[in-house]
Amino acid sequence: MSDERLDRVIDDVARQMTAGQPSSDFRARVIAGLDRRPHRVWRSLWIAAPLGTLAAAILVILVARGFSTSAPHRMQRATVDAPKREERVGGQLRDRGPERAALRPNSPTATAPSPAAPTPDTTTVRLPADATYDGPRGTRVAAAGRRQDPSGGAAAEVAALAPPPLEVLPLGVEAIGVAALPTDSIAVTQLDAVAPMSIDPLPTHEARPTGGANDEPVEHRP
Amino acid sequence: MSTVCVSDVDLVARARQGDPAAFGELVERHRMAVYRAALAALGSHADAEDAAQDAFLVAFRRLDTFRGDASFKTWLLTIAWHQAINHRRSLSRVWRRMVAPKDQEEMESVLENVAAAGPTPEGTAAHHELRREVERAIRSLSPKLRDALLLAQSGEYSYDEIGTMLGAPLGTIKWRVSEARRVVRAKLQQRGYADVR
Repeated sequence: MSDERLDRVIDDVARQMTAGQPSSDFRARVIAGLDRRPHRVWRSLWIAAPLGTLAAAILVILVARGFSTSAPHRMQRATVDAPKREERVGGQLRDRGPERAALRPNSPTATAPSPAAPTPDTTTVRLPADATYDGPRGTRVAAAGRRQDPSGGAAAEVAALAPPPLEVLPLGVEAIGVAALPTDSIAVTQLDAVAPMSIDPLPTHEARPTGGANDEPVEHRP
Repeated sequence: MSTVCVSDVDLVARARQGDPAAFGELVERHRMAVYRAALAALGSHADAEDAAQDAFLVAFRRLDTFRGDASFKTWLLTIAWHQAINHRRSLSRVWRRMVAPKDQEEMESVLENVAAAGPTPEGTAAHHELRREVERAIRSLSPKLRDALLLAQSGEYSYDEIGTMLGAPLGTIKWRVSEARRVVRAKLQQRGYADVR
């Protein structure tokens, strides 16, 4: 097939690819579109943008809450839940007084401690490994079993046994009064002038002094 | 008032003053050119109609920017081409093509219907197959070559108008059309259509 004939086919196919006409109501639709708000695209953007931002914010919150199930969050939840527990040691009811009173200020425990609920102390109660206690809903749980709970039970127990925060009074320290040091100048007396000393030379052929430890006669042998 | 013998410039002036009938006449005069430009860029009748409608609406809002340096048709075609290219680049259209890829089939059926009938059934079948291969080769061209070829062969525009629409000099447009033909010929010959009679 010659190039000219191929070109004719190409041009014909290209013409067919762009053949066609708009629908009969095209003019009416354009005229109708003139009456609409001109910036409908921007208007839709103004609507979609806040919705998208809101959806993104919700997604971020959900993701953040998903990550917040880590240990610190569980510790915080355990601290809140801990005062609700009552622990029975040796058959005697022990109330976690300070925490409970702090959370329930109107409760009788906070105002007047009942005989059944002794004065809250802050001492740490160490349970033996085989000790049992009344868990929630009246179930009896072994203490050793609680330690085996890896999902925050140990953290809750530690938080429940924690002493209340100490109140530290501000230290009042008076300022130390220091007397002023004497500032008199130190008077130094001047030394007397040293007189020159005259030393007489020693005699060269003078006999050695007697009476010493080595005063033995020296024998001269030939 | 009749608008039959009124020039485009006069219609534009009346449309600027808020005469919808004047703009309607402009739509009627140039709807085919705008539509075919959009069809050349998009390859889909539905998308081309949407793009053409958007082009007229944009032109109406920008009537104040028309200074008359070029003809109203050239100015309108430039807007239409930009609108069509925006449609082509939009993600929604890509999505629609993925979901409902029936534009290709629609075009092929049109081509089959309008194809010239050969003298024999074998010749007719061969001719249809050749036209399908030509269309595939044209669609596989680069956008610059394909746009120039389709706009040039649509019969609606001069080379100057195509150059204004595509933002390229006249010589570049002519070269693109010629190069598009050469590439299509080469592809057809690679597929064994050089010896087809």
